[in-house]
Amino acid sequence: MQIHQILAGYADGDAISNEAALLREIFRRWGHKSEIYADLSRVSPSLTTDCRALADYTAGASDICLHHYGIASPATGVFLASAARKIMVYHNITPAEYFGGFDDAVAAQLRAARLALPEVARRSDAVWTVSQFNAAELQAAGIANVKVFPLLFPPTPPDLPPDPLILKKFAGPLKNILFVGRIAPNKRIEDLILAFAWYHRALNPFSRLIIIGSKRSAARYYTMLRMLAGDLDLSNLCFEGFVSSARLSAYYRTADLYVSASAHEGYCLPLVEAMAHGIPVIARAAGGTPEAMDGAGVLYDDLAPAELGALFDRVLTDAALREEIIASQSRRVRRARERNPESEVQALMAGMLG
Amino acid sequence: MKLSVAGQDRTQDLGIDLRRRAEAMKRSPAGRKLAPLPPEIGALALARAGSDAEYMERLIRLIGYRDAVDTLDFDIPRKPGLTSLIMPRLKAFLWKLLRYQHDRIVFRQNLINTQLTSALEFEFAQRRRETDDLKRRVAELEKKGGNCKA
Repeated sequence: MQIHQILAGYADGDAISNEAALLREIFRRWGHKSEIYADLSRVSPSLTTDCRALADYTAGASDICLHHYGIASPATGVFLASAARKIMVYHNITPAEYFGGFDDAVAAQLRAARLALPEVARRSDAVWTVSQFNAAELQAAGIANVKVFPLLFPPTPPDLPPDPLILKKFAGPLKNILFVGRIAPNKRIEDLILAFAWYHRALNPFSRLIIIGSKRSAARYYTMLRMLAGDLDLSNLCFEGFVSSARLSAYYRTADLYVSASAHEGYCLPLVEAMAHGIPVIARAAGGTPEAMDGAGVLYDDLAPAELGALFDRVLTDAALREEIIASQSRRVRRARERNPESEVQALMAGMLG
Repeated sequence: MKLSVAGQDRTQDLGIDLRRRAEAMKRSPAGRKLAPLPPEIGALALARAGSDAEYMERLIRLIGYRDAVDTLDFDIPRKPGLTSLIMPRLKAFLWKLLRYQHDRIVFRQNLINTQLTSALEFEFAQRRRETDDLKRRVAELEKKGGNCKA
């Protein structure tokens, strides 16, 4: 039997791509032929040999096909046309309103994806989602029998050798506040910058905000953020762009605090990665974020920028609070590591594997 | 406001403390310096653009407010301790020493910036005129030719 996966794109450091690669490993271990098919124009150069072109996809009625769905793309057409039994893995669709004005074309793709969602789900034999939040959204759209399969925490140890150049550049007397994620409007990075401005100006000038993530997905939004940094005269704000795993490991090592102000997430795996590196995590309670936090770290909602800046200070200076946060995060990471993805996937696919 | 730490609701204690600290920050000299720009010229005005075209229009306008490097003095942060007493003073002295050369470079840089901004504004206005003209002519032709379609 063949169990292939179809993706809109396949990229380094992308949570959906990582999940697809982990699932492929499982399917291959079970003795099935398993490949990842993606639109080659949306594949990272380093991964072109690790996946196949959508046009090469073929399958029979006895095969299984998984489609990771989150945006309108040619991949969905290939999935729907497949003769195989179909599983849609829903990763959530960012509301198009976030992209209006920043990228009308992406906003249109997101609208199209949301419009097609019921049809794609209806024509699938099974629907999985990565969070209860996503499942509730599907159920509200009238889609029944949704199964939740939270994003897999990569088995790679957090002690991947860190890039010494980054360690040298960012280790030192400054307090490093970190955010990792695509530079996209739903991440509300402007809220993070405003809060940092309060913290940096009024409480600790020896601090730095480091933002890691691709600037390509919403270049106009990135331009706005740079302009905001200029308005606030924040020279200690570092946009580091997309980074390799070794570099990312170094940024996590030098971070004193991880903060996410994202207003819309299907799940948000970097929160768990930061916890695995022993960094206290603060996140806005929005979308699937509370599920990713799973009772650990600090969750907030409806904080003014100055209040969020004051929260940075409390977490960085109050040793007891910090200990309490880190202890909760250690428990959360342990739970993530104790998951048995193989048996979870087996249970989800019961009845399909024969 | 909602706040939870390690799964426990802390809005009533930690939340109130944060609100109190935030109020104190706003009253501090550093806080007063953080007064936001008027919303119509602040960077976040870009987030209120409804389309790519409106974003471009707003961006060109906002760049017009930001094409000059300022030459104002600035605070040099200091930490407690002897070294931290000396270093900021040394930095302040160096700044005074380099001020003349710095201001001259800034003057020249600002000349270039303003010329580039003007060129950008002129180009944008010209393109918009041309586009509006083309749209008007297409509309007229469609009105005249009715059912002529490519």
